[in-house]
Amino acid sequence: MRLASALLSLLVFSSLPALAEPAADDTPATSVQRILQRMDQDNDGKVSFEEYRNAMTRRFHVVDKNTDGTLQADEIPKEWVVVPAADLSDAQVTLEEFSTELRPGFARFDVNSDGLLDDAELTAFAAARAAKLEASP
Amino acid sequence: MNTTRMLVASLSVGMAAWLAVVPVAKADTITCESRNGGYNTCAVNTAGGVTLSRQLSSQGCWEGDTWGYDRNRIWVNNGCRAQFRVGDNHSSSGSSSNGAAAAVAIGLIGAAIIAANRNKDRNDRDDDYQDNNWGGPRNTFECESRNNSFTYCNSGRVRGQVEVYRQLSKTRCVYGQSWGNDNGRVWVDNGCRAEFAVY
Repeated sequence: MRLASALLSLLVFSSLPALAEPAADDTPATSVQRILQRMDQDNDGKVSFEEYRNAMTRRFHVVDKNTDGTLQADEIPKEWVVVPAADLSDAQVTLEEFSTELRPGFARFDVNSDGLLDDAELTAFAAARAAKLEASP
Repeated sequence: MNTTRMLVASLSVGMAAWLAVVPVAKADTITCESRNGGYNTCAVNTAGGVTLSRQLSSQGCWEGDTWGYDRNRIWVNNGCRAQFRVGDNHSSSGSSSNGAAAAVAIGLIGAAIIAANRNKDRNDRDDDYQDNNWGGPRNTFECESRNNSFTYCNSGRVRGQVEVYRQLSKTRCVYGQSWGNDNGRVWVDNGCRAEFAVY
């Protein structure tokens, strides 16, 4: 499976594992507040592309267990995937491919193209996630 | 005769070196890497500007903190490894043909980071680090350079990658200048105040 279709499969209608215990912070994980807590390095209440890129790249490496710079099917987290696992059997995503897609992914939410996700854009970003959660079975 | 041959030989070497240098100076993309967390520079003409096009390290690449550039070189530090685009700033069309759809997927992967955090339990950070995929720090601590003075952070020796998680001072925290990691002892200086993360 080539990049595009592999990436398409990485949707996040996530079947999240059951929560063992309530998180210490009960704010919904999709809230703007939690996004900022996660990504806002310079504490300006916005998420810059650099902040987004660092968060995303770190995540790629965490998932890339065998550290070969490519996510093989068995490394792609189940909660990213909407298609049956069998359809991913020969999927792979390289770090280069992943990195290349970060900018357009960010741009989708950066409506005014100023390189920052601010209040309204962050809200939309959070809402996109929340909507997917809502839609997931 | 010998002198002439030597001259030709050295000219050839000189030419070869010159030829080797030119493509580097005109290169669209250059990879620069901080090896073993150390400071490194990559010589390149930066007159046309520099953008980080692909981050390759899980260790952070933060402009002004762990990467930057001046007139004729790019510098990287604290484990940052990346490809940089130099010169012409027209954006590459490196996207896949299915760019729009892929962009949507990746954007949602961004959201997936957030989702994974739902499992995060503060009492269980190590497990979180091991088992969860969101890539957050194992722990964080705050540290401040009061009155611009040098101080070691009250964090004990830390093992792992340390980065600025949240800068709290107006003063920029710059690795190697206003903060650093001295064999696991994190220090701050020159007014840097930040929440640091250990990965």
